[in-house]
Formats: sequence, C-alpha cells, structure tokens
Amino acid sequence: MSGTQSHNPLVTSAAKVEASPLAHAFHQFARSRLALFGLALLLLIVCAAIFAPWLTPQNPYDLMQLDILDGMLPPGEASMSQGFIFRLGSDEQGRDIYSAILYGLRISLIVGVISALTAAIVGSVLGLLAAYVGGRTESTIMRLVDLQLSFPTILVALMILATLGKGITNVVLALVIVEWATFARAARGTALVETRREYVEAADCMGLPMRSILFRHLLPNCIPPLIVIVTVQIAKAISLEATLSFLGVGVPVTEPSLGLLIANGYQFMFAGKYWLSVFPGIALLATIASINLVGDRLRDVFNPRGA
Amino acid sequence: MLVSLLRRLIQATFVLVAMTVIVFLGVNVIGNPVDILISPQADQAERTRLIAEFGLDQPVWIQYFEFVKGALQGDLGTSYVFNEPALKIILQHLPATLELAVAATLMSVAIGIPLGLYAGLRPKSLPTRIIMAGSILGFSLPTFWVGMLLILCFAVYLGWFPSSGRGDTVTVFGIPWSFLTLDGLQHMLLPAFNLALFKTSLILRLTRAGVQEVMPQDYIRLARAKGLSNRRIVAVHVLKNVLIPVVTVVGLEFGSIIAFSVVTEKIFAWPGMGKLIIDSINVLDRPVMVAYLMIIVVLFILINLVVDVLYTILDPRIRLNAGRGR
Amino acid sequence: MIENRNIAMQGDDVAENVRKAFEMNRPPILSIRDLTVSFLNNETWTPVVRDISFDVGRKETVAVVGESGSGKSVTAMSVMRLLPAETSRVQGSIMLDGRSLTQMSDEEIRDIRGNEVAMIFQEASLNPVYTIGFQLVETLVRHRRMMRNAALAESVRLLEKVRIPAARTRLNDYPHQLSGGMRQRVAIAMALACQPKLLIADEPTTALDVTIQAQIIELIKHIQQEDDMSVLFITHDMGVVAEVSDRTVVMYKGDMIEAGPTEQIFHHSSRPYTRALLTSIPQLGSMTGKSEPEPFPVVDHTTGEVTPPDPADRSVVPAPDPMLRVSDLTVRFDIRGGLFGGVTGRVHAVEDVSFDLFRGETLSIVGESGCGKSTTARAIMGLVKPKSGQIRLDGGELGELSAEMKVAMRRKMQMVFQDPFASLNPRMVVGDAIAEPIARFTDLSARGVADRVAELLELVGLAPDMARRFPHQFSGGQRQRICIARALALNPQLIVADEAVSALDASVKAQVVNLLLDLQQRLGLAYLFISHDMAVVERISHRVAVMYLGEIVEIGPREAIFENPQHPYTRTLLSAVPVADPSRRHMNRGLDETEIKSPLRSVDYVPPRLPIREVAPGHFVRQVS
Repeated sequence: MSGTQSHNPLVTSAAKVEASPLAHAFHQFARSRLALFGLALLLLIVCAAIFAPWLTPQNPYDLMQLDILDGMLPPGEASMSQGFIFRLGSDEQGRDIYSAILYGLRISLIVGVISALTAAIVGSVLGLLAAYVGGRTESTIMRLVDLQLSFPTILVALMILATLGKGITNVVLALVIVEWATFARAARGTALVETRREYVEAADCMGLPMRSILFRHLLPNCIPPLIVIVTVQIAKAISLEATLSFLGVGVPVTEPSLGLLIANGYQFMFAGKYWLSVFPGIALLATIASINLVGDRLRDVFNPRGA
Repeated sequence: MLVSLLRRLIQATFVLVAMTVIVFLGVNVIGNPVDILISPQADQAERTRLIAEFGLDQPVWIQYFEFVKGALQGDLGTSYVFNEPALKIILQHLPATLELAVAATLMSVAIGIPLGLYAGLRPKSLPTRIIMAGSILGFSLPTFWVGMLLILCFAVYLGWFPSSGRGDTVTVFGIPWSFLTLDGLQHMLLPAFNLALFKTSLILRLTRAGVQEVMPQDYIRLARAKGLSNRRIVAVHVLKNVLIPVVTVVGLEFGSIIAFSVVTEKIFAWPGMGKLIIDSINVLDRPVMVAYLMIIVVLFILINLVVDVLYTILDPRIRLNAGRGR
Repeated sequence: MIENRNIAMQGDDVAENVRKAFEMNRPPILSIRDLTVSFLNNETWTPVVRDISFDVGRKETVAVVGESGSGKSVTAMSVMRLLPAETSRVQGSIMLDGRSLTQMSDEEIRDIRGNEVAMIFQEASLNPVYTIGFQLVETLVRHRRMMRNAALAESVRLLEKVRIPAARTRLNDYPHQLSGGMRQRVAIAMALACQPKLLIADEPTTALDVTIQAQIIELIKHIQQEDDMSVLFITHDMGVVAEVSDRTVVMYKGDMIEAGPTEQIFHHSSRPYTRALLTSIPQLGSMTGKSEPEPFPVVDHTTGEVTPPDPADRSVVPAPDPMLRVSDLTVRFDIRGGLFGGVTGRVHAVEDVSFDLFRGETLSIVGESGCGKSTTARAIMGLVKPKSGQIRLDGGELGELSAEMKVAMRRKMQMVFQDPFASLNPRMVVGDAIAEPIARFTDLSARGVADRVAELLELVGLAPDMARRFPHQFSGGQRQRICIARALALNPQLIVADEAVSALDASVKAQVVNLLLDLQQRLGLAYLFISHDMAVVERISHRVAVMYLGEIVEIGPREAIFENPQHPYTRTLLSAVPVADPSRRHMNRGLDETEIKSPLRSVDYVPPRLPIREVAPGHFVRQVS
C-alpha cells in the first residue's frame, strides 16, 4: 500500500520509524528460523575451523603423532598409546577422524572463500567495466563470459587441473577461472538495471562526477545481489573442490581437505568401516548447507519480490 | 527465424574454432607433450626421433594446423592405453553416458516440476517448507558423497539394487542399451537418481519461482474471473508460462549432467565417457582427453542450438519478433 | 471548446429516462450490504473496506471512485470472490439477482464468473502465450458448451461487436501483436461472451492514452445499451465518472463517504471529502477565459473549508532573449537486427523540434505515448544524444561548450522525474541526497550545507527533521517534494518536469502543482512541463506545445491552444479528455477505432517537412499533409 497518501504532507504515518535499510535487512533475515539456524551452524563451523589446533587431540598432518597401532578404530575407542578417545574413529594410519575433519574444514573453507572472493573481485570489475565502457570491450568480455558459462564448471576445472597438476594453488586458480564469469554477468546485469534507474539519471543531471555516481550511488545498490552470489559461490567452490579432490585431481594427499578424506574412506566403506567417509561427508554437507541456507535467505531479503 | 538460426550457426562455428585453439594450447603447450608422450627412460636419440615423428619440432601454428586437419578427418590421435583411435573409443562410450544423462534429466523433470508447482501454489503450507528445505539440501549434497551413501544403503545394506556396471544390455543398431532390460534399468536407477538430485532441486526452485511470478499476473486474475476451474488455470494458463524458461534450463543443464556424470560414473563404475575420461586423466592418455573435449564441445553446441530453436517455437513473443527483425 | 466536440445528442433521451426510471423500480441486480473486507497482515486482520452498502440497478452504471488505498478495487474483487481465501476475509452480504454470492460454493461461483458477471481489468490481462482466439473460445466452451467451430464463429462475431477491424484474422494473433487499446477491446469481447448481467470494469482505461480511453469508454457505453447490461465501473478519475455513471459511490481509505446520483454528487454534495476531491481534480475547461496559470483551490477534506487560489500576478516579464532556445532538434534511435546486426529501422522520436522558453515561464509539452515529448526533455538534459539541432541555454550552445562549462551550464537546469519511487537512491537518507550537490559545488561548511537542506525541505513543505529518513519512509507525494527540493539545491533557472505529477493521486497532484506554481512565483523559475494530462497542463502553463509523431504540430499561448485549437490532432486530443460534468454524459462521440501511429519507420524514410503557419501572434500550426 505504498500509494497511500497522507493529505497533509507534514504528517507521516507514525508506524515506520525503522532505521537504515541494513538494519531492516537483518530484521527480515531473522524472521526465518531456518536461516538463523543456518547462520548459527555456519558460525560454529567457522569457529571450529579457526580454533582447530585447540579443539583437537592430535595434529593429523604430523606423522610423528600418528601411531599405526591406533589404525581403523571405530568411533569411541581409546587410543593404545595416547591418552585420548577417537570420538569419530580413526583411519588406517591411526589418524583421528575428528581431528582430520576440523583440519580438513580449514582447507575446504580457505579454498572456497579465497577462490570465491578472488572470482568475485575479478568478475565484478570486469562486469562493471563491460557495463560502463560498452562497445568492443563489453562484447569481448561478454563473449568470453558466454563461452565460459556454456561449459559446466566441473569439466573446465577438471581439464585445467589435468593440465596443471594437483595442488591447493592450482585448485584455487581453477575455481577462479570457472567462477569469474558468473560474477561478471551478474555485476554487468545489475549495473545495467541500476543505471537505468531514475536516481542515477538524477545524479547525472546534477552534474555529479562519474566517480561519485559510481561509488556513492551505483555500487551500494549493486552490492546486495553480489553478496548473495558470493555466498552461493563459496558453497559451490567448496563442493567443487571436494569433488575434484575426490576424483584425485584436487588437493595433495599430504594436506587432505574434506573431499579427500571422503575419498580415502571410500575404499573401506564396503568393508563396513563407514566412519572414514560418513563423518567427513556430514561435515562437508553441514558446511555447504549452512552457507546455502544463509544465501537463500539473503536472496529473499534483498529481492522482496521473491520473499 | 531463419536469420536468427543462421546467426546462431555462425556463432557456433566461432565457438568451435575458439575451443579447438583452447584445447590445443591447453594440452600441447601448457602441459609439456614431450614429457607426456615419451617415456622418461628413452635416450636422447630416441627423444629427438619421437619429437620429429610427432611433429613437435614444428612451430606451434603448424602443429595446430595439423591438429585441425586431423580433426576434420576424424583423426584425433591414438590412445596410448587402448592403442585404438581415440575418437572411436569415445564414441563407443558415448551411448552409456547419454542413456544415463537422459534418465537423470527425465527423473529431475518428473520430480522437480510437480513439486515446484505445488510449492509455488501453496507457498505457506507445511509440505512446501519441507520441499524448500529439502531443495537446499539437494543443492548442498555433494554428488559423490550421495552416490557413496546410496551404494552403502541400497546396495550394501539393503541389497535392493546393484552397485556397479550397466547390467544386461540389448543391442539396437549396433549399440548396446541398458534401458531396454529390467536388469539394465535396475543398474541405472541409483546412478540416475544420484545424477538427478542436484538438477531436481534446480528445476524445483525454478518452477516455484516461475509460479510465484505468474500467479499475481493480471491474466491469471482474468482467467479466474472467466470462471475457469483452478485445475484448468494451473494446467493451461500457469503451466505454459512457467514451462518456457524451465524447458530452456533443462535443455542447457543437459550438458551439465553429461559433465557431472564424470563423478557418478566413477562411483557406480558406469562404463561411459565420464569414467573413461577420469581414467585417462589419471594415466595422462592425451589423445583420449582431446577427443573427449572435442566431442563435448560439439555436443554442447548442438544442445545450445536445439534449446534456442525450442525456445523460439515455445515462446510466441520471441518467434514473432524474430520474424519481424525487431 | 465545447464547439469543437463531436457531439450528437441522443434523440430519444426522454424516452430513455422514462425507461430507466422503470428499470430502477425492479430489484437491483447487485446489492451490497455492510461489506467489510479484512486482510491478514503480520498475523492481525486489518480491515481495508468497512461497512460498504450500495446497489447496482438493472441497466444502470454505478461508478466507485476513490484514490489509491481507498478500497475500491478490493470491493470489486470481493464481488467476484477473487481475493485469496487464506489472507482475506469478507463479511456482510453480496447479493446477485437475489442469490448470495458470499455463501455460494466455489463451484457455483465459478459458474457465475465470466457468465453472469464478467470483469475487465487494466491493460495487458490477456495470457501472452495463447492466441486471442484460444482465449475467447475457452470462455465460450466453458459457459456456453459450444463446439470448437461454433465457438470460433462466435468469437469473430464478438470481436466485430467490439469494433476490431479484420476480426477473423485477429484470432490467430498473440496479445503482444495488438496495441493496448485493441487488447482492451479483446478483453471486453471476452467479457461479453455470455451476455453477462453485470460487467465489472476495474480501471479499464487507466493505462491507455486519452484518445484510446475515450474510444473504450464510448464502446462500453454503447455495448451497455445494446446488451442491456449493468456496469460497475471502478476508477480514480472524476472525469471518467461524470462521463459514464448514473450513480456514484465515493470511497476514501476503506470507508464509503457517500453514494447517490452522479449529478447530485457533483453539484450538491454535502461531504467535505467529496467536495475536496472534486475541487482538487483538474477539470478541463475550468480555466477558460484566463490567460495566466492558476493554482487549484484547496479544500480541507475534514472541514470542507475552501481556500481560494492565491491571486498573485503570474504573468511572464517580457524579455528580449529566451532563456532556453531549442532549434531543429532531432533524435532518432536505430533499430538493429538481421544477420549482421545492421540497421533495419529507425524510431523518429523527435523530428525538427524548435521552441523558446523565457524566464519565469511555463511551457508545457503535451501528447500521447510515443509522441516524443519525454525524449525532447531528455535530449535537453543531455540524457540522450540528439542526432542534430541546437540547444542554447542563456545564449550558450550546449554542444559547443567545453566539458567543464557544459556541466556548469547543465546545473542551471534540473529535472524532476515521473516516478518518485525510482528517482531517489533507496540507500541514502533524503538529507544526504539533497546535500550531495550542495556539498560538491559550493564551499559551504557542513553546518551551512545542513542549514541549506533544512531550508529547501521547508521550501517544499516538509519538516527539516525529515532529512534523516530514508525514501521508503515517505509517501509518493512527499517523495516528489523531496525530488523538487533536490532539483532546487543548486538554484537552477529551469526545471524540466517529465510527467512529474502523473503518478500521483488527484488531491496530492493538486498540492504538488500548487507547490510548483508557488516556487515559480517566489524563485522566478521557468518550467518545461512534460505531461499527457491536459487538465493539469491547462492549470499550470503559460504556453503549450502539442506533439504528435515526434513533431510539434501546434504551439502557442495556453488560451489559444485550449480555446481555439487549429490542428486536427489538437482537437482530437482535447475532445477525448473526459470532462467532470455529468450533464454531458449522454453526449456521444461516436465509435472510432483509430490507433495511435508508431514513429518506427524504415531506414530510407525521409520525413516530410510541412510548413508552419502563424495563425495569431505566437500561435503556430503545422500544416496538415
């Protein structure tokens, strides 16, 4: 009922005395319990990853701390030589699965966040550039974007890693290459929509310089949709990294991410040693799902039409 | 219509050319083919001889030209592992992958569209909340992990379905197909479901978004004001408007399903292109990788073309505008 | 201007009235008693329509009139039971021909819809992916159980009944192939399919151009007499009410203010709100005999107290040189297509437009959609690039200035846009939005800028402490005031107002027009006022230019244009405007299906340059081809 008019212009409806759009957005966000749960879970996961060394009984990457006699213990068994319990069991080398999960989370999160943020910066800059410069620059960038997007991410990443070889840096590079185009297209699209809004034309009429139109008016209005995409793309990147590692072209065996942990456990799965794969899988699922829950709600909040 | 189709074909040719360059550079220049092609044990003379034989001493553009010439004649090299033309090996594995991809697409459409319609029409109901939460889960579940759980649950513990292979096949036109036998279908069910899960969530959400966009439109109000039954409104007036974008996405995602079959095929030991390519990557069977990529590129270009044509046929607004050159 | 109307009084007017009186004694077709409609909002039921009672008699037209948020459309929707059951609650009784619509089963109400009661909406209510024929046949099959071929033949008959040319070939067309007016005709044909007893028309002409609106209103009146139908007409436009209705229901914020014969409502209403609404609506012809602009009288809608317009002198001080001189302005847009993206056509948006604008003067540009009036404004503001022509501001040619000078010159003119919701940055408090240009282009201190913002807000009738609020916390009228304040921030000499009051409700519209006139008086501003609303233009302008297909066809003093129009298009335009005078309700303009022409031309099109003739001092008319 935005069209409702107050006849005396000095009297506004007393109902709305809420603060900035940001506070309004958070208020909206909190109205979904599922999303709040997602946010809490995500914070928990991030904290667990950051404080992993203090939360775990062993450093799973330090071969000196592993005891082969502790190999393949089911969840709840106590260590033979060390004074702790394998809460989620151990692998064939005596590595504590619980510790490996927290350390693996670190790799997964770092790879996901760094690749998505890099892709976001590269892609948004190119997308905004395309929207503003137009002409040949725009068509070149957009042709590249179209080409990139017409091929599924996994295929491109697989080929890049097949050529470049394994390694965390290479995985990040591959993920950036497959993700930048999504951001470029979104940034250009949003920018084009916003540029046509009358408030931008009004700023133009005022004679405000390009820089201030870009940064004070356009950017703040383009960022919310990009935030949503960043969230979703972080989840995608984590999932893709896990898949690539599972296929054997991702991170190296020395520093296993969640995907590699699952892959390692795969061969023991049919022998009834379910814990090697199932628990890292649940951790991976919880991470991706919590990010997606948050992203999904953000989309609704920033785009009131779909809410 | 004809003009736009022609324009698409020209664009497709450009994409094809661009992709041959990228594939060629990627495989032949960034990765060192000498290391890949020639065994490390070979002595210097042997190396020089082989380099000359593979034409690796030629300038890059001549190598590219030779590559394109070969490709046009259907020669994309010979597999080191199988010692057969790479293209032939890929084409032998293609039907299994296509079969799986089609089954997965059908499954995701059959589940996604009805659930999406329901969720769109009853946005506040409890089943909708469950469906939507489930779709987030569907988006979040890593394909390979779900595949493993499916095997663990339905093959290992329950023993309802087999866990690997294609099962019995029937040969039609010289190509073996699994979907024609009961055993084949049983083998196909788990991998197809695995592959379909992600796409189901996507189609479901797309359908729901479409319904939510269409329902408040004036033409739906008019349809109700005409006294039409709810069933007819949904089945005729809502559905066609919603399905136009969904069909496009389903078509485009078909390519993505083929790509993701890499994961599913590996887990379920499905003897398709995907499993082949992963095995080839692991042993660095370069000609097979190149052949796979080129087949995929052609396949994708074809899919894009078909989707474009389909879209123009389905949406009268596009069709007529194209005819008028607007 | 009455002389210019194409009037044909109906011969059997008296007989008609007798017949009507007889009909009125029969029980009404629709009877609404104590209707209250509530919507579920944040888990509480909020009434949006309260205690409405009125009847629609046989063969009678009842108009429900009100501003946005008055509940008029909700009333119409609840008759058809089209409101969503989960979030709305309808109380009271709605009787159709003695049967209660509120107590019917869903199945029964569906048999009524489209059959005994039909409804038409604003434009574009046809399903875009089905042909016209499909959608017409659907109704006929549903209610009249026709076979396909019979339904097709009947569809052609219905399309002919609503005067669609070449009806048979139209059956295979999709909605987007028709113009807005033609689409509305199809919707009417669909509504007539089962010869309904009652037609509910919910703002059926709001989205249409004024000449098309006149055609559709004429068509509805004509068909009502042909088919002996009752009509419930929902509108916000008092002019339309006067043209169509026998009786009128006035609504305001969910309450029924009054109901009665239209003549009585217009001439003898005792209700302050009705009187306020009537005085605040621009009435074409109310300025006859006056040469200067004049604000609307203001009526307080609770007390009914009338404040007459400020009698200040609003004449333009004569000056030797114009402030803005536009000469031979031409804007064309290329349409690209084909295999290699070549130019396949051109929109001749603005063709050879020239005019002068003097300090303190208001020049209005009027015309229908696609006539090029907005493009002219945007070209002057530098928002679109003209193909040729000169724009001189204070003697400086904008095309020849250095970039820096251009910016400085541009600051002398500012623009106010149509949509007050889109023209403010949603993430910036309004104080910052107004302060931005001041801080940028003056050397005032932070304190000084804040004072200036406060001053500007007061100037446009807002409280200075509103500067800290965000745009979404204001109503449409307030936002437009903020936009005006922002435009005034740099002390411009010229304001280009592109449909600046068109999106506002009638009473708010009147207030903003009064504000503009007041600011002109105080600050000596010149206005270039772009509008399709002839009645507002009559109030606000010193001079008027009429545009058609990219050209100015007539330009001159307002009095001359409105009282002595020379160009046939100007006459058509003026005669199409609905007049808020119920005594002229039985005038018949005749049925017409002329469409507005498109300015889209082939690439090799060379526009004919027709000579312009001065018929009186300052009054120029383009020759008709």
